[in-house]
Amino acid sequence: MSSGNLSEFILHHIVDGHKWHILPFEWAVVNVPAPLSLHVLMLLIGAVFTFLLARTAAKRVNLLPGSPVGHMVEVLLLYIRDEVARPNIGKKDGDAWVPFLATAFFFILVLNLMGLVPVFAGATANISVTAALALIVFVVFNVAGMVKNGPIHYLKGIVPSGVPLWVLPILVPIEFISIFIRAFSLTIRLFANMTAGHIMILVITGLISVLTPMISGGLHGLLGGASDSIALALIAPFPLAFLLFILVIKVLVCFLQAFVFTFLSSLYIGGALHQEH
Amino acid sequence: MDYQSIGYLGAGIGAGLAAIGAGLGIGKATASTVEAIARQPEVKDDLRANLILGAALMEGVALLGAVISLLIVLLK
Repeated sequence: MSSGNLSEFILHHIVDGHKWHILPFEWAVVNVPAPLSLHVLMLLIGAVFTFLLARTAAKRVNLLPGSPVGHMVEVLLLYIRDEVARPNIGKKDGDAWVPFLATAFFFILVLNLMGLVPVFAGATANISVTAALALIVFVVFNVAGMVKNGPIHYLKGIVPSGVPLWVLPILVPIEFISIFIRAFSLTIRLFANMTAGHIMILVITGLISVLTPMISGGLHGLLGGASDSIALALIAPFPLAFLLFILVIKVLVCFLQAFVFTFLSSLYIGGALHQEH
Repeated sequence: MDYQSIGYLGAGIGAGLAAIGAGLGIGKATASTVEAIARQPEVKDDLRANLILGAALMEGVALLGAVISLLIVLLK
C-alpha cells in the first residue's frame, strides 16, 4: 500500500457517507437512504442503546439496583451527582440537573464506544455531531441563566460588577465572546480527541500493509514466492500488539471525554445560575 | 522545494510544537499534583479529578494541533 492509498484508507473510515460497511465484504454493505447518513444512523442507534441501558438499569430498583447493569450505571450516576453536579451547580440546584448531565454523559459515552466496536462507526468523530451536542449545552446554560436570574439581569451579570468604567469597552466584548468560545471549545475537544484516536488506530493498522512490501522485497531473493506471507507473519504481530495498547487507551479516552464534556457543561450551567461567584 | 513539500514540513513542525506545549503543560500539572500529594496525602482524591480534567483540557489543545496537521496532509 502506498502512502496515497493509506490516506484514502484513513479518510474512508472517518468521513461520513451513505454506505454502512457492516462487515468487510461486498455483500455486507447497507445503503443508508438520503435524509439519513451513516453518522445520523449511528446517532439513532446510539440513542436506542442509551435508552435500553437506562431501561435495563432502572428495572426492579428497590433499595439496590436489580441487575449488574444497574450497579454499573449507579456508580457513574452517583459520581455525576456527587462529584460533578453538586460541587459545580450547588447543593440545592445540583440534583435537578443530574438527569440532563447524565443523559449527556451516557449518550456521548455510548457514541464514543460505538466508534470502537467493529460493526458501528464513530459518530463523535464528526464535527457536525459534536457541534450539535455543544449547541444544546450552549442553549441550555444560557436559557437556564435567563430563567433563573431574569433575561436582563443575566445579560448584565455576564460582565462582573464593580469594574472601572473605562475597562468596560474591552471587557464586554471579551466576556460575550468567551460565552461563544465555550460552545466552540466543547465542539473541538470532543471531535479532535475522537478523530485523533480513530486516525491513530487506522495508521497503526495501515502500518502492516505499508511495511510488508518493504520486508518482502528484502526477503524475495532468499525465499522467492513465499516471501510475501512470511514478511506479513514477521511484521503483523508488532503493530497488532501496539494496537491493543492503543485500544485500551482509547477506551479510557472515551470515558474521559464523555466525563470532561459533562463536567464542563455543569461548570457552565453553574456559572450561569450563580453569576457572581 | 515546491509548495506542497513546504506544506508537509509545516504540518510536521506544527504537530511537534503542539506536542511540546501539551507536554510542558501536563508535566507541570502532574509535578505540582505529586508534590501536593506528598505534602498532604489526604487531599489525594480531590486532586486526582482536577488533574485528570486539566490533563484532558491540555491534551485537547494538542490534539487540535495534531488534527489540523493531519488535515493538511490528508486533504492536501
